[in-house]
Amino acid sequence: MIFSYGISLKGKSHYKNGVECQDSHRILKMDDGRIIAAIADGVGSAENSAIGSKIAVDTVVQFCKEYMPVDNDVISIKSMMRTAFNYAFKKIVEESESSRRPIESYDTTLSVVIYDGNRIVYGHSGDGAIIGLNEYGNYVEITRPLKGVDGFTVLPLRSGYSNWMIDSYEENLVSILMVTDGMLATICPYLLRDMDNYSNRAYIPLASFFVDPKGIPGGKNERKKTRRAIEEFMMGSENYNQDDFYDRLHRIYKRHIGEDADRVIEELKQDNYPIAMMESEQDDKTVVGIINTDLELEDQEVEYYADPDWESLKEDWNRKAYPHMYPQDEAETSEDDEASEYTKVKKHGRGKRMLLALLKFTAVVIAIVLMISGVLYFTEQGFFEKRFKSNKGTDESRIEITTDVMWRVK
Amino acid sequence: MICKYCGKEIADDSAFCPECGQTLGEEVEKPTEESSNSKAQAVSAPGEPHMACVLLLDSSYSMNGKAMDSLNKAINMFQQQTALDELAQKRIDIAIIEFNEGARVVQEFTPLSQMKPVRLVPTGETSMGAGINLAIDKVKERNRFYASMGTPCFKPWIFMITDGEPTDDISGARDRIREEESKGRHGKLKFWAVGVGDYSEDVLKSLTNRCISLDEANFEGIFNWLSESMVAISVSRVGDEPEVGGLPKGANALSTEW
Repeated sequence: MIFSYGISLKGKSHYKNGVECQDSHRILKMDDGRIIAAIADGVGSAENSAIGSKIAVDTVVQFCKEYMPVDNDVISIKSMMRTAFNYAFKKIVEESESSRRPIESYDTTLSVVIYDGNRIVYGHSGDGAIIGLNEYGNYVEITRPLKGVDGFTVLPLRSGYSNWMIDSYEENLVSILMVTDGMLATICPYLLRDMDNYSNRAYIPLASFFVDPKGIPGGKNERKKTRRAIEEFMMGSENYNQDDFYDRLHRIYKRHIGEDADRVIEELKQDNYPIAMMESEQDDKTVVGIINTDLELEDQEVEYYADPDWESLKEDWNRKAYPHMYPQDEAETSEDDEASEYTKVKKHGRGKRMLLALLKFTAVVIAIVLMISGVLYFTEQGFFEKRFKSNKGTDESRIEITTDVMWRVK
Repeated sequence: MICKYCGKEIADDSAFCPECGQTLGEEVEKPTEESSNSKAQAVSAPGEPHMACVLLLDSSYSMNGKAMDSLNKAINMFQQQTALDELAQKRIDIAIIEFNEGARVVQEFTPLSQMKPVRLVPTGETSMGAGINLAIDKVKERNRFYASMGTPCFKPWIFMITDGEPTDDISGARDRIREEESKGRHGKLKFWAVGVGDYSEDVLKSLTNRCISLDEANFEGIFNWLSESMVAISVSRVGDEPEVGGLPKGANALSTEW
C-alpha cells in the first residue's frame, strides 16, 4: 500500500507579519496507483508568490495526470515532466499578464515526483529538496537546493529550463520525503552536511518520524491520526505535548532495533533537539510524504537511529568558522603547509632529474643513429671497397680499413 | 584596583571598568589569557543561521581623546548587552576593522559572546577607502564560507563610524557598496555610515542612504540601537527585512531612504 500525505503550514514569522502562507502542495493518485506529488514555495516573500506557488503545483500535477505517457517509458515521462514545468510557468505568466503585476512577484520554486511504488521520476527547481529512503534503510539526497553562483540566490521556476533538474532515480525507494526550504533546514541541519560532497544528510530521528514505513499503521482511521500527529508536530506550538513525538518515534524504532529503542529515545529526550529544531523554525513549512509499506526495509545498527555527536559536529564547524580561536590548529596547518611545500620541492627536483636523463638518452640515440647512417653512406659510396682493393688479401689491410674508417667517421 | 582586562587603575568598588566596559561581577565568566586560546564554546544549536557584522571604525588621530575612549567603552558595552540575548549570541558573528594610516582587521569574525575587549588607539590619517574595501572583502568571504558549509545566513551589515573626511580615494569603495546594495531584490549587504565630529555629510551620503549623524560622541546610544537591531534580526527569518527601531537621542538620519 502506498500511503501519502501533504502538510503546508504558515510559518511563525508570517503570523507575526500578517503574511499568508506561501507554500503549496498537491498530491494525486492515478488510477494505476502511481502517485504524482508537487510542492512549491513562494520566493522571497514576493507579493503574489503564494498565488504563484498554488498555480505551479495545481498546473503541473494536472498536466502530468492528463499527459502521462501510456508506455511508462522513463525517457518519455521525463520529457513530459519538462513540458509540465514549462506549462506551469506559462500559466503563471498568464496570471501575471492578466493581473498586470510583474512576473517576479509570482516567483516560486517547484518540485515534482512521480512514484510508481519502486522508482521515481522527478523535476526540481529552487531551494526545496527531495529525499528518498532506499531499501537498505539509508536516506539519500535525490535533489539539493538549486541556487545561483553566490550560493544564496534562489533560482525560481522562472529562471528557465537550464536551471531545472529533470531526471529519474535509479534505485528502489521505500519512501520519498519532499520538503520546502524551511523544513529542509530542520530535517537536514547543516552540521550534518557532507562537506566532501557538499550534500545534505538527513537527521534520522526527524526523517523517521515523517516517512519511516514502520510508523504507518494499517487502518484508514489510524492513518488519519498519523497525519494529524505529524501536522501537530510541525506546528511546533508551545502547547505541543512532546511525548506524542517521542511515543510515535519509539514505536517506529522498536520495530527496527527492539529493546534498544528505549535507550535511544531516552538519550534523544535529554537534549530534545528534534523538538527544539521544529519549534525554532520560523519559515512556512511543507512536507509531502509518500510511503510504500509493502516494500521490505532493512534495519540499521542501533547508533544509526540515535542522536549524532552534536558537540563534536559543532566543534568541527567552530574550528572552520573561527580558526583564529584555535591557534594550535593553525600551527598544525602551517606545519602541514610546510610539509606540502617540501613535498612539492622534492617532486619538482625529481622531475628535473628525469628530464635530464631523458635528454641524455635522446642524445645517445641520436649519436648511434648518426653513426649507423655514416657507415651506410660510406658503404654506398664504395669507400670501404676501394680501400680493401688497394690493400687486398692481408690481415693488415683489414686493420688499416677499420682504423681508416673509424678515423673518417670521427 | 587594577582592571584585569585592560590593566587600567579604577576605583575599588567599581562594578564595571569605565575604561574598557567589562563587568567585574563574579557571576560573569571572565575570558582569561588561557581560555582565550581554548576552543570556542559550542554556541550554535543544530541549524542556527548566522549573520556577519563588521564594525568599521575610524581610528585616525582626530579621534584622540574623549571620542576614542567613548568609542572603546561603547563597543565593549555593546558586546555585553547583545550577548545577553540567547539567539543573538548564537547567530551573530562580529569582526572589527579599523582604518587610520591603512586598514587592518582588529578582530576576525568571532561569536558575539566570545569577543575580547577592544581598545583602539588613534593614530594616522583616515584611509576610509581602504577600510571599506577590506570590510566588503571580509563579509563576502564570510558569506562564501557560510554558503560552502550550507549555513543559512542573514544579510551582512557593515557599520562604519568616522569623524572626518577620507584621506584616500574612496571612489572604488563607493562603487562596490552600490554594487553590493543593488544586487538581487534587497541587496547583498547593508552599509551604515555614522558621522561624528568633523565628518563630511556629502561623503557619507555618496556612500549609502543609511547615514546617521551623531550630535556628540554619544557612541553608547548608537551602539544600544545597533544591539537592538542585531537582536531583531537574530529572531527574524533569513531573507526577511525586519524593521530597525528608531534612532536614539542625539542621532539623526541624514536620509529618509533606508
